[in-house]
Amino acid sequence: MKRRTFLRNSAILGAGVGMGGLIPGAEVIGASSARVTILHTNDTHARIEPFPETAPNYAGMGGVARRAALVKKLRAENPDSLLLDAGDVFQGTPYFNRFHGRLDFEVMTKMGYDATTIGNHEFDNGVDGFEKVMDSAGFPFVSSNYDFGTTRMGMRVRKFIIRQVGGVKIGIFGLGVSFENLVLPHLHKGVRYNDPVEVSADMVADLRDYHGCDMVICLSHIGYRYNDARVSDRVVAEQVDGIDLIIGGHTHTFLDEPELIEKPDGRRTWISQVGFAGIVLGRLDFHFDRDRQVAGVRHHRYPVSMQLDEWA
Amino acid sequence: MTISLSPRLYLQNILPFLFAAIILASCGSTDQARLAPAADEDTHIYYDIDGEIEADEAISAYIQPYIRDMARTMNRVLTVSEGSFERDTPEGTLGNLAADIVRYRATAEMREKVHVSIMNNGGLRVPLPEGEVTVGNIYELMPFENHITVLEFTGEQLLRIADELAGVNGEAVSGIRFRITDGIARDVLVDSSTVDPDSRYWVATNNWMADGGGPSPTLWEPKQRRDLDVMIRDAIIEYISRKETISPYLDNRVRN
Repeated sequence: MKRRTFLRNSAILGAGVGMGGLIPGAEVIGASSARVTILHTNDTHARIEPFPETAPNYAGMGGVARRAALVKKLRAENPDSLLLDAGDVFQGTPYFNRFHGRLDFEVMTKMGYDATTIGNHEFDNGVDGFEKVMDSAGFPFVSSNYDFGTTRMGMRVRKFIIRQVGGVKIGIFGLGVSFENLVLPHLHKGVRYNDPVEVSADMVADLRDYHGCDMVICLSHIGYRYNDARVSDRVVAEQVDGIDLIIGGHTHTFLDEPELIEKPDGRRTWISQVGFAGIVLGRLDFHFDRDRQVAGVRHHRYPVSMQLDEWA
Repeated sequence: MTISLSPRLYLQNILPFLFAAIILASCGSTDQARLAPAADEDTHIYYDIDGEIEADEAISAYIQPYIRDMARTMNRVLTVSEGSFERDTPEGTLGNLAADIVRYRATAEMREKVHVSIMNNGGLRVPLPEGEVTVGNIYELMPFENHITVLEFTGEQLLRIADELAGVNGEAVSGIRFRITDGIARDVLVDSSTVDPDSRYWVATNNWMADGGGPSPTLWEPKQRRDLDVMIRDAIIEYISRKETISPYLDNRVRN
């Protein structure tokens, strides 16, 4: 497709979905069809300010104020949006050392985050350290394979959440990485790790069969993939049916575009991850048909810089 | 339709069908992967977002006091340095300072003698400047949240560790002296004495080297291990902030 036609068609599609009968083809996708926009980050790592101009990499990129502006624009374009994060909000700049994650949670609340999960760095100040700042987050933490026992942290973290967006029922669960060689035992005291594959299978069954969700999203902080036997987003996507989208983190992987894992039976799982430090904002648009089945997916990445197109 | 259409009419009539086809391709196709625009089409204009993003005013205003607070913290002057501290092998002024501080602090925390300390040169990220040294300088020097780990080894193991350090032409050390010849540590002295293979020695390092990082696998097999609740960056800040001035020093602790 030529660029010119592409742009024109895009504009039509972008503006047209909400206009019903005026747009040819509306009868095909159905008047009751929906478009749900998923915006996502991972491993933001206390990057409140953009990277300094003197930084060897990603100079001038990122920063919460510009990400907020971008999110606001995208939300204005499609209110049927969710803003999700895949963990490791903590650690990475002196802002964490000084404000212990509280500032990040406050800013994420103002930006309208709908959920995040628990990354390994969320334990950097111990379970106590998380508990001290968790109430500054006005959004839920979702983690399904950590057993939080009797910790106060456990009273704040949800096994799953369900959101109704544009008439589509979306179930969201979360996965955390094994503590081995990552989190010192005294820092995750009282919290136990369970196998992500088993837990994911249970969560999907629960969300789809019992709660009747049309779409299932996994916020994962287990990593995109490994060369060894460690469980990863790839492994979960291949071994567990029924997850539409895995929003990944931990490995700081800049996927050029989301990856589609297709099963022989036609089941599809998208995996997306956008590096780290809020350098890039990810977007996927899920189009649903009249029966609230996924009819199509479009995706895009926005570099968070002064000029949107100065880095890709 | 058999009559021919003027170009204008043609467009008016055919475009809706084109769009319908495109929407079909977008939303009704069974091939979702194909829906992703090809690379050259994946422009930033696609979602009606134009070239510039200005910072969100409300968020900017909210974080301003924190940014100022952070600047105040980071600009705090800790001490004045009479020369720049540089990383070098087999011995460098920056490594000497960092390793001495870690051994000093580990001894104070353990309340017993810590004989040796070892820090990886790679973890010392930037030199320290001559003149005023700020908190920000120390964050740049040591951005990692590593803490002091104290490990116990036999003298025999300690000699092996010295050899492993010699293999990379030395790391930052304190409390131990040796000469590197052909990649092997010779004339190893700890506390001015030769090393007794059967005695036990405490070695302070960072948790990264203790947990599998760095050039010395013997560090991963200690007889005992204590993880101190002291960040290495904090130890450096606390130590130098008590000094009116600091000056770089070499004492041939590791030499070729």
